[in-house]
Amino acid sequence: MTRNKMMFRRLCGLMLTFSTAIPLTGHAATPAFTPGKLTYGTAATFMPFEFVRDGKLSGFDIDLITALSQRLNLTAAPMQMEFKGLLPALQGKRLDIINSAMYVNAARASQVDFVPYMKIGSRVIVRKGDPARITGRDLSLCGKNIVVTLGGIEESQAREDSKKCVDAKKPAINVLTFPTATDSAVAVAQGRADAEFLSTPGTVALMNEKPDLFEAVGPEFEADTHIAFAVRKGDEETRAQLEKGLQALVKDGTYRQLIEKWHFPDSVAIF
Amino acid sequence: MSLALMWQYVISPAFLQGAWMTLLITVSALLCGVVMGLILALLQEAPFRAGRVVAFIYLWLFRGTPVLFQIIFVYNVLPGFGISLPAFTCAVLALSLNEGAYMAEILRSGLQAVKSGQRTAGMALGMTPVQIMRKIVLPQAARIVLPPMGNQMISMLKSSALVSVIAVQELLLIANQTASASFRYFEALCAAGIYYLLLTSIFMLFQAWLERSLDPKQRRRRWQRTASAGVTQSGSQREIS
Repeated sequence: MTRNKMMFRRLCGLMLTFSTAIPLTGHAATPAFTPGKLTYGTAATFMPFEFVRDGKLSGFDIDLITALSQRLNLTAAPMQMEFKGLLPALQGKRLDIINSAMYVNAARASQVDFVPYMKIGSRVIVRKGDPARITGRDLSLCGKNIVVTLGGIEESQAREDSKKCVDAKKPAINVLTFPTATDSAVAVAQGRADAEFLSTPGTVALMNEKPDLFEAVGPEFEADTHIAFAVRKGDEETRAQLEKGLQALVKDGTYRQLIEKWHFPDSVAIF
Repeated sequence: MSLALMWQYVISPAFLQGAWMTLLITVSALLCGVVMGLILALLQEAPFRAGRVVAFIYLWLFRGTPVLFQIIFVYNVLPGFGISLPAFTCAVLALSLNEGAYMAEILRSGLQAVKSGQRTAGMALGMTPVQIMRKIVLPQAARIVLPPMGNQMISMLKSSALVSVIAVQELLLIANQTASASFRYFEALCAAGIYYLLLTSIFMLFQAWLERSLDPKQRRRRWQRTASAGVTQSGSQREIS
């Protein structure tokens, strides 16, 4: 027998040993679906909608879904993950709904069903003193570095603006995407980017936290962007439940109270 | 899952650029990492204590912290000390610093695998230390370190996806950007996966070629073939004459 064959036999033996050992240490996956629970996915990196403060998940969306679940006699069970993991988790039936301030557009609506609960606009944020001389969402953005949050409505808005610049024979916008709004704000503060597109509620939160570092220029834009819960395409039951719960919250005033609690402008309400 | 859409993503200029960026980051970081690793491996073997201490601290620091942390550190913390590098440079710098630590260990294992008797033999032949390194140690060490280095090459290809956190437009970030507006995650991720497999295949072929060209048996066989061809030719010539 050649040495290679010996080696092969030994390897086979080794593999056999491992393959019998592995299943003993494996655990059965716990099911995400539990009756009596509303399992929702959230990417808790989006102030003031969902974020972690002092180790606790908080934000407008979290308060809303907790109140909503109570009306439906369910317990809200959060599952925190990255934004890009939310949709695959919903489609893979790991989640009942996505509750992560998702904006609605036609392309997304062909993949999931939305239950809108609010509308928001966006603002242009620059470093204090506006060193890049940006006047708002206009052609002063052309040729500049604009940061946005990956997956936010602002990303598609910035890409549209870039096209407008090219059409006006001006240099295109360099759109940079960061995982969270905080990372984007840091890039602006460090001078790596000239401006950030940020949701109006996000702007309010940022100005409360760091008023001496940033300023907002120009008016609010596209103030009719709907944000919504997402349910699996064709999951009418969950969708009807959510709508029922929302109506109950609007009727008893909880919806308005939450908007006030988080210092959102009244214009965000859609009920 | 729509195959047509996936294919459309694969051939789109955005994905092609992303793949190019991924390849560029990987190759630059690998090259710098190998140089870094060689320096560290030699420092570890150094006869003076300071060299060994420096190498130890380096390895402890860069193997002991997540590479994601190192990327963010270079990008977001260094500007606080007045060093503000562009995102691409930060990405390559962080990845090569990390890669250097791993390469150092691989190269050290290769250098140590060449038995000291070989060096003694070299000395007996009157070779200088540089000659011993170049003609005896390195050719043997190179063959030993190639398979683990191939591993590192391929793992670096995938680590490069981490630099998306500092907004470098590499392949996986392009896929996520494409998917986030349309929610077609599977198509976009599969398109990126195809590129990763393609790049991995290229790396594997390169590794196999390198291993073959460094294999002395192959070289001897080639040499024998040319030599035996020469012999038969001269033999037939002799018959004629």
